Amino acid sequence: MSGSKTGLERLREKIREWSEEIGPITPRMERDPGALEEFCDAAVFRYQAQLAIPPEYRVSDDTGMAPVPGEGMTVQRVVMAEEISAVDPAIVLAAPGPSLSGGAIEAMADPDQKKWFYSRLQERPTWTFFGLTEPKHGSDAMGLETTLTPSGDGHLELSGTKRYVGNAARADVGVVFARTRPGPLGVMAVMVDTADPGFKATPLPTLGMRGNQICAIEMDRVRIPPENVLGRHLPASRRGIWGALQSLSAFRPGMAGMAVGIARAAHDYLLRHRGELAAGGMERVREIGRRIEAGRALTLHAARAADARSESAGYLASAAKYRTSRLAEDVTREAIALLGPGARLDHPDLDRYARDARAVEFMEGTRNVHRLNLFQGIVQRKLSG
Amino acid sequence: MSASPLFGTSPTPSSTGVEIRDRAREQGVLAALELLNRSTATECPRGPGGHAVVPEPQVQVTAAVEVALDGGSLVALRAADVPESADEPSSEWQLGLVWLRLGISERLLENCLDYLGGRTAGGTPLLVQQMVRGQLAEARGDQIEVELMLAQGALPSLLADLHERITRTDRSLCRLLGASSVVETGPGQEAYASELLADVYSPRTAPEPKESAA
Ligand SMILES: Cc1cc2nc3c(=O)[nH]c(=O)nc-3n(C[C@H](O)[C@H](O)[C@H](O)COP(=O)(O)OP(=O)(O)OC[C@H]3O[C@@H](n4cnc5c(N)ncnc54)[C@H](O)[C@@H]3O)c2cc1C
Repeated sequence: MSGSKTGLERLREKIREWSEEIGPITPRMERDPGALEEFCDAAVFRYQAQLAIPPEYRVSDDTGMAPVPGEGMTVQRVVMAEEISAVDPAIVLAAPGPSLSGGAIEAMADPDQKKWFYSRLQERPTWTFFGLTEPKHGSDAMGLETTLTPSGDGHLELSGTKRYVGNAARADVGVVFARTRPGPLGVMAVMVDTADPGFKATPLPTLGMRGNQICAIEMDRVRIPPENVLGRHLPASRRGIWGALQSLSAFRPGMAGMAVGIARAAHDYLLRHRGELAAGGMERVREIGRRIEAGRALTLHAARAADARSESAGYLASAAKYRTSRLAEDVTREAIALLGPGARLDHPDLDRYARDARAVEFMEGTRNVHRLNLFQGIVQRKLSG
Repeated sequence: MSASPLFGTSPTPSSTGVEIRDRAREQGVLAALELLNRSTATECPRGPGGHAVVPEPQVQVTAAVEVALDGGSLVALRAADVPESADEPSSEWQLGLVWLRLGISERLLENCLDYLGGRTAGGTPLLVQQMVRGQLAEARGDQIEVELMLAQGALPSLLADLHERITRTDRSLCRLLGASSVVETGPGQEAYASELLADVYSPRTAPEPKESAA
């Protein structure tokens, strides 16, 4: 076994142990939405929040675990996402910290903005949000209609509606994408303080991924100081939609890790309940296990390509994201079928995995969109060998 | 449509099935389930595992799952919480349930047409995207086959397969509805209710492992 493999295995074990320490949090959050606060001090939450802050902006350097030698950040994030999601993806999605908006900050913020953003996040457990999707524009983010207009006194005003934005109602700060003028280069990203007048986020009750608390956001002339505009120091082609795509693609392998984790949760569940399976059920469970192995291999491959900044990275991330989301959806559905009539009622954990799996499909791009992207990789000969 | 034999032995006018399907398509799960129960004189049908799903019960029950729908809620009960009076449903009821689920599936397809017709990708409607067209065509093809099997009077051994097909079709339609299918007030909630009914009542054996096609 190579040294790096051992390091990764150790990371897996530690994250698994930390996640199992708190167990699935969604059922407790469903009973009492305030319950989330009590998990913030758990090691797995602290680790995630710390890890997502670039070392040069960390107040303390103690993440609770040394980086794995020989493996990049994306691989470590993938392993973390899988291990946590095998317990409950809400432990990732409901966690305070930079999350997706951190990706936008990394891609577009100047040093002063980074300092402001990251220090604010370290004062106390702080949630953030990433506002891109709109009621009429999801996959078609380029068509977004939220406006950012000068207010006449050097400030800007943000108006419009966002939809399905995770954690927005519990967040203190977030990144919102808005239009300053028509066309693909007319999109800018701004940091928004949710306490500012004119900003309102309302949770949307969902079937799955309830821990993520996706929200509808209404913004009515929210004042944005010029220093909160991201990418002012960058050429127009390097901010706005480009920045959004950068942040999303950096997180995509992690989303695939999450999908593998959900599939694995269902598989582990079947193994624990092997006595209740119909005849021939174990052969099916083994076959499911082999499909999960393949999904995990693809996800790690995509993560390593991302860490190596390979030209195939984006295409592999698309392949991993859509195939593992499909895997999670199929495996959770099959697991319910294997446990016989009424399994959704007698095995509420499986019901939750299946509902969560349905939602993963839409996070960070749908399977159609990723298949179209993978196709681009094929015709451009970026995926050979 | 002429009467067709059901399960070879008990004849039932398939027009009842069609009526239940239409009710589901036009008014949703709750209204169709009420019609199904009424037309088969069923009050609280017990699934093969002893569970039951009932439209908002009048008496106090311990719900394992409660699904809020247009016009009320659907309540799923674990075996231990199902009233003593519950009965195994008749074969008419079981067949009618597949008709109901077909209607809900067709309702989802209608939702998809509305949704996708009103959305664009790069300025062109999503309905024009070939991948989307193919997925809608697959879904409708599956629905037509299910309808034909039902109209022929499906054998009990086929019902599990028909339930499974409808579930797979509904999942592909939900994917076409984007994240709107994940919110409880959206069309995905009816699809979930329909799956719950299949989970409790399908006389199923485990389906063959297969990746969802689209
Ligand atoms: C749990 C959850 C968390 C989320 N968190 C966030 C968040 O934090 N921030 C945020 O901004 N958004 C978030 N989203 C929204 C998510 O990004 C969108 O749902 C996603 O981009 C898809 O958009 P849509 O739902 O509008 O689907 P649509 O874009 O309307 O897609 C509908 C259907 O059309 C297909 N389609 C679209 N374009 C094409 C094409 N060109 N060719 C073929 N088929 C196509 C899709 O595959 C899909 O099947 C979240 C969603 C969920 C479910």
